[in-house]
Amino acid sequence: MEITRTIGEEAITIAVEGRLDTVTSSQLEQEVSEVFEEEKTNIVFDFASLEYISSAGLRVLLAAQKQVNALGTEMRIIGANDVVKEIFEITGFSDIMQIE
Amino acid sequence: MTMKDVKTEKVFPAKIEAIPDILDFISAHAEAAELHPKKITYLLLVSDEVAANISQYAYEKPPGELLVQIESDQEKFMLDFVDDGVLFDPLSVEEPEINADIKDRNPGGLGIHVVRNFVDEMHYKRADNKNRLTLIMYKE
Repeated sequence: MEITRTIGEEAITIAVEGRLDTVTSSQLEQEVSEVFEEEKTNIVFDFASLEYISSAGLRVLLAAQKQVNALGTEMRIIGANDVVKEIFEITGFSDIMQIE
Repeated sequence: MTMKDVKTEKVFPAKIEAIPDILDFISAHAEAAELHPKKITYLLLVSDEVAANISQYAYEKPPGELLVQIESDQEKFMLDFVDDGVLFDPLSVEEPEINADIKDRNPGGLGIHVVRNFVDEMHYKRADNKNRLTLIMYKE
């Protein structure tokens, strides 16, 4: 699983390639934690190359969304494929996150 | 073209580190059984959830072992996870509050919820001091 961080004017984009599962989600958690440490910023998760996400990955996103809400910044998810969108629907995450 | 029946099993350590090997084993046989690619993705997703749960909770003195059994025919692909850890019936886990506001959303219960919703059948049995979780995907 590969993570690429891109710093833009409006937001920091975290692109994930591969699977967000039990083993790989801790990498994302580390990445998100580093981004939050650096500055108060909007975050975009680019999931265009994400195959699927398991509950471990969902928990990382949930924590990130709660933190963003507390900071008053924004979090968006872009590029999710059908399977990933289905996972967000079934878990109710599509109601608590901005998924485009 | 003949549809190949598959029957196989393998024992893995019940550790997070073994999950990639478990998923490789399952995906190889799911492909051999000609399960639809989208269903294979669902299968890997739910297998990750189950294997993670067993690795984290089944054994008080880890690591224990996890037996993965696969049986597939024309109609369905059956996957059994067998461990001899503490009694754990995933069907008894409470559903998470999927309609709650974000401030009320907790991290727990998501794994089983995902499994329940992405397989065609899910069965649990406790026998001979073992947990047996059976997941079935229809071939359509």
